[in-house]
Amino acid sequence: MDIDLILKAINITVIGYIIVFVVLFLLYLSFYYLAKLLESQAKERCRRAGKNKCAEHDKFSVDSDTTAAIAMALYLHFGETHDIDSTKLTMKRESKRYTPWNSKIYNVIHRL
Amino acid sequence: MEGLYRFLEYTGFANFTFGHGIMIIVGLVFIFLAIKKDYEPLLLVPIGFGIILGNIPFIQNAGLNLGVYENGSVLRYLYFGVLSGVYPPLIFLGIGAMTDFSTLISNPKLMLLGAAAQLGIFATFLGSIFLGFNLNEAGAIGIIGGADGPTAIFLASKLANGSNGNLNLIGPIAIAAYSYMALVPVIQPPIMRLLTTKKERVIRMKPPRSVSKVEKIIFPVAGLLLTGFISPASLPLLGMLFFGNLLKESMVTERLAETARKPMIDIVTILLGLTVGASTQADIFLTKQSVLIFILGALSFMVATAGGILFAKFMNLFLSNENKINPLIGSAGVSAVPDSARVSQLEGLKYDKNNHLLMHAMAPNVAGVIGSAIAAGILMSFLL
Repeated sequence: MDIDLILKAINITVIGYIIVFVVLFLLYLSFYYLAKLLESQAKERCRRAGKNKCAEHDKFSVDSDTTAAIAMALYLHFGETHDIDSTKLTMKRESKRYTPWNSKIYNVIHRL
Repeated sequence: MEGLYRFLEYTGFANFTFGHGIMIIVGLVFIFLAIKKDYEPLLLVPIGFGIILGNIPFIQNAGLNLGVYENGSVLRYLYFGVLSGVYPPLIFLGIGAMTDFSTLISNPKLMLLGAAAQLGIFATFLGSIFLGFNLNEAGAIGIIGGADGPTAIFLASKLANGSNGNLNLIGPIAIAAYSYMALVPVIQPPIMRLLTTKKERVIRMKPPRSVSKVEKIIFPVAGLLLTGFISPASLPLLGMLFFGNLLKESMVTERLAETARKPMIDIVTILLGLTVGASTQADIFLTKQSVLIFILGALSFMVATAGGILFAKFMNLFLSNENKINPLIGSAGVSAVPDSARVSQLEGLKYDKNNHLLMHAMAPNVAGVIGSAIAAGILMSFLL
């Protein structure tokens, strides 16, 4: 086994894994502080607009059970929509039997 | 009579070998798993059919130009998208246009789970070196641990495409990656149970907060700038991923986003799956190296899963009780979107019927996509 090759591979492994962590850690920091910044801006806007609106904003949060219920409702809803029609035919009895040939008796029976 | 003999020489029966038979059975198994068991059907059906297509025996180099490895054949032209690494970035564009990064943005610390799970890539890279592969081949094999088919094909097409003294490992790597992705529901649960306690499996995580439109628009732009500047080699994949996501989140390019996430990704998936399947010609695929790649691939998935779970437990040491992470979502850091997140959800429900982990698991899941693409870029910049 070539020792140089192994050392090179270990070098790539360590540096590579650290870089992956660093990139995602930086991305984490960026969005952690971006969220804080946007939140403080939103609070500031709310504070200017009035306290009630702020409270509503702070309260907005959906728990996992509610989200799961919404997801299930959507799943069921979309499960019901389909683009293939049922092939069952239902015959509807036509009650209107008017023809010009029986117009007289028709008018006797069916008075407006 | 001579014409009849000549015709018979050209038939598949005359050129049939034991290897062709094995590969055709493999293709049939893929199709069976996809249709009967519903294992990644969108991938396994084209790949399985491609395997059968690529293993119909015929006389090679007789001027017929049929096989994927024969210049001038139709399959060769379609396979060019794999060899040149064109298809994977297009698939990433579609993935970006269909992925909602909200859960990740709402709880960005879960990105670290996506990074931790890349342990599988680097452990497999080292393991491949010890099994006698050279650096480039080892890098291409290692990426199987990223559990991301397009990334695996992309890196294999760059590092182990049969040129510069390297073996052509695109076929075995792609087949191993997609096979194990389909087997995520089988591979991951035992490791998840082994590395977690019952108490940890019922941890309830704080519901994700709502994410504003501004954050969703900033994410792809900031993500591209950050990842692109640190690891430019990952640009073809991550550039397309973030571009696709911007098309979706900007809300002003809905038509483009719709095309990217539906017709385009479907077309590319068909071409990619079929040609990767067809590239598994028995004489090229059935080698000792392919067997080793399959063994390494299975190990890489296991190591990646363990990496994510153990890192979640490590993070819990520093987090307050209300911010604790359920370690079951750590396994979703291996990418394999969305199957590994679904596995976390199902495992969580086994121990607490009201504990829905899917939303939380999607965060490390999409972070895993970003992490594996960064790892691919790093390996490329070291090895090319």
